[in-house]
Amino acid sequence: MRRILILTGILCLPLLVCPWRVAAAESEQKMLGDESDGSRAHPIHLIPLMTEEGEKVSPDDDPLLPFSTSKTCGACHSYSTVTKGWHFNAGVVDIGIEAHGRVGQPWILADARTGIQIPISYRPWPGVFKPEQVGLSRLLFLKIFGRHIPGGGVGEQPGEEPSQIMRSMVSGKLEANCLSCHDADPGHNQAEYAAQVVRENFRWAAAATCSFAAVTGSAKDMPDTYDPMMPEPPDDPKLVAPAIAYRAGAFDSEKRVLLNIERESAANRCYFCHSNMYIDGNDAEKWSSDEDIHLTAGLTCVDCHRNGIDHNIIRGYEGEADVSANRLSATSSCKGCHLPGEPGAEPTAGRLGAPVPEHLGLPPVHFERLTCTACHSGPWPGEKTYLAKTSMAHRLGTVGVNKSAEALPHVLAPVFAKQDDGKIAPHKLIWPAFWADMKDANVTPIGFDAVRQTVGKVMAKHELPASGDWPALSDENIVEALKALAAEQKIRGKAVYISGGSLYSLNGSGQLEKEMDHPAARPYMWPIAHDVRPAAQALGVRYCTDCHATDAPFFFGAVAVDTPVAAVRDSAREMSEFQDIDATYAKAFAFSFVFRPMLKIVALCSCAVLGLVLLLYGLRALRCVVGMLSGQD
Amino acid sequence: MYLVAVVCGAVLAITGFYPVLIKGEHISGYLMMLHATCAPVFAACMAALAVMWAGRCRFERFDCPLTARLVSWLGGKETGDEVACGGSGVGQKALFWLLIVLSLPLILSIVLSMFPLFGTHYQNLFLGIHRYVAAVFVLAAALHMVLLFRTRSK
Repeated sequence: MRRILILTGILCLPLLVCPWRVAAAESEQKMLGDESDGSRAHPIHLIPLMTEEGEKVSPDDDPLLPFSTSKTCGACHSYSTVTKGWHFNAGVVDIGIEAHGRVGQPWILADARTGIQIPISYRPWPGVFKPEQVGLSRLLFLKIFGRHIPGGGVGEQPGEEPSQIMRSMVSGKLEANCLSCHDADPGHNQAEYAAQVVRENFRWAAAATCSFAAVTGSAKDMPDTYDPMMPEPPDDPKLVAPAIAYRAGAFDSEKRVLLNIERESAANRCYFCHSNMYIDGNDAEKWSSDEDIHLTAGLTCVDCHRNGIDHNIIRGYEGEADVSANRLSATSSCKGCHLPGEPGAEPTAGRLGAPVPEHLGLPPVHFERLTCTACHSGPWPGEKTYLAKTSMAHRLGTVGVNKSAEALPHVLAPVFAKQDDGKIAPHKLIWPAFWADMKDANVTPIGFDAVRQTVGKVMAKHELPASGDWPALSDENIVEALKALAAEQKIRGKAVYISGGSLYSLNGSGQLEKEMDHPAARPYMWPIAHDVRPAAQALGVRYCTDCHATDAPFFFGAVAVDTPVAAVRDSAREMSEFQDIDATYAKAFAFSFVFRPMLKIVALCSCAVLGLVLLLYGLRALRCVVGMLSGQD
Repeated sequence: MYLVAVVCGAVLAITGFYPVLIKGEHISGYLMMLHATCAPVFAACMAALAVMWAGRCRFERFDCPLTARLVSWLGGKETGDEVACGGSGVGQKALFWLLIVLSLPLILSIVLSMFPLFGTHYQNLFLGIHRYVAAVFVLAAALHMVLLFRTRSK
């Protein structure tokens, strides 16, 4: 018996030890900054800066190297976890097609000379092209669009060809720049990031944004054999090798630097990449338009768009909870904050002080047919769509931006269109324009370089407008370009030009043919969520005729067909075409609202008559009953 | 007038119940426009019928001894000689008044929801009232028509 007890005790010992070891192992995987201890106070980041080699940066180093975010921030925060998050995972992390969620804003490759504006993205959204499909290598993609990428993702990929791999050793990796969002230093200059990216100073880009560092030179000008660790001055004295200088006094006696880090990024940080402006004919200055009502009410972007260390940020649309692992996604949409939850469940309405809307007089069918944003977001619709500019599309916030309203790409908004879930929502829209190879029904864009060489040569004699707009293309221009493409490029099928919803090709006798509404020429749209207007500026606040009138922009506004093709440049489509609604029905229904006041008057008068009859005969019946009860005949 | 009311009522019933019962969705589209076109006509017809028929549809002594017995019982008095029931005329009258009474919530539930007075909760409530009152109304109207045709055919 005693032996059995001892044996049992020995056998049970691992069971006691193992859970502790498992728990210890689990907590060992999390780094110091991955989990909160519960304090809402911000930790002070007086920390050493680390190079990409893992060496501590010292102000007397030679050569002085830029700090690496993966090594500096990664000392306490799990960099590999962070870079699987939404801002970093496009094209590099397999999160599953569904997890990419609702379509969003693409990158837009635009070139006025060749009449191109094409949506591209590493995300598998319908209607966009992968950068490699339009001939953009990783490096070229980064040079063009890295200005508004927070680093990471494809920025850390080595490249496909040996020459690109060599260049990536000179330029370095474009690491995730934690400071893009989390640097609260008022001297943080994100525009400097864009400038460094253009020079291929990827290794230096993050550090260049700091107020205590200055980066000079250009990795782009260095030969493939240049080694930043042992830099040799270039042969050409005009070329300057990339170098960094830290401000005197930035380092303390222990060679640490004070970084002003905030977990809750300020709206200013988000604005660099996520600003919008709508050119509605009036002065488009910031002071003359209002910010999103949520910001005016005191919220910041990250009050709604939250994430944990996984950086799986909430995008905030209805249905996101079905595809997102973020446990707050269901309660961080419009409905999630503003409307009561299921009866009986734990109350979640009114988060962050969100008012619960009454929607006085609004038939509930609207909530089945429209998103919240249809009435509350974006600019108040006008007779025609406006040109819109965004940070990502138009390089807003960087040096040397073309401030002209007509600068490419041409983004139109608001376009009220039906989404995949069947609800109508406001969208931004671009009409793709590109040169392509059409074989059978497949339309494949021709590479950007090839188009620039061939079509660019044909269009060289065109004077480009100073506004950045594309020049008008005549039918002859298109014919000439298509013939040049067919002759000079390896076209498997036939060369075509997609623009303004139409496909242009040459027929057997060399004449231009146009096919309208070709599937490959469909516009690309992405939903608008901001800026949210206050309730007093929602559609329908005046009367039903804000939308249900025969001239209401919601159904009958003109969506400009944007194209450089001269013959159709000023054409437009009606908004109802994008809503899968019969135009005749829309007009008839809108017209019926003219009679709505009369309907109300007739109905109320009829009720009054019915009420009077009931009252009169009810009183007479009451008199009879009372008489019978009192014995009268 | 009665015919117009019946036709309008039938259109309203079909356009109102078909999408809900058959398609499982809110009324919309051309059905909605037809429904909204016939509705004021129907309301006006009901008001006119109320005025025109209220006199002849009032309950009288010979309509049915049940009511006389009820009133006497309430007053604690003997009824006296009973008169034979007037037959289906009583039923028609009762249904007539039921239809008039139901018309009020039927019309008001929708008209009130058209004004910016009530929020989503009450909008749904009014819609529910409209639906269920309409269902009872349709049944009562059908019964009324049957009794009316029986009377006319005798």
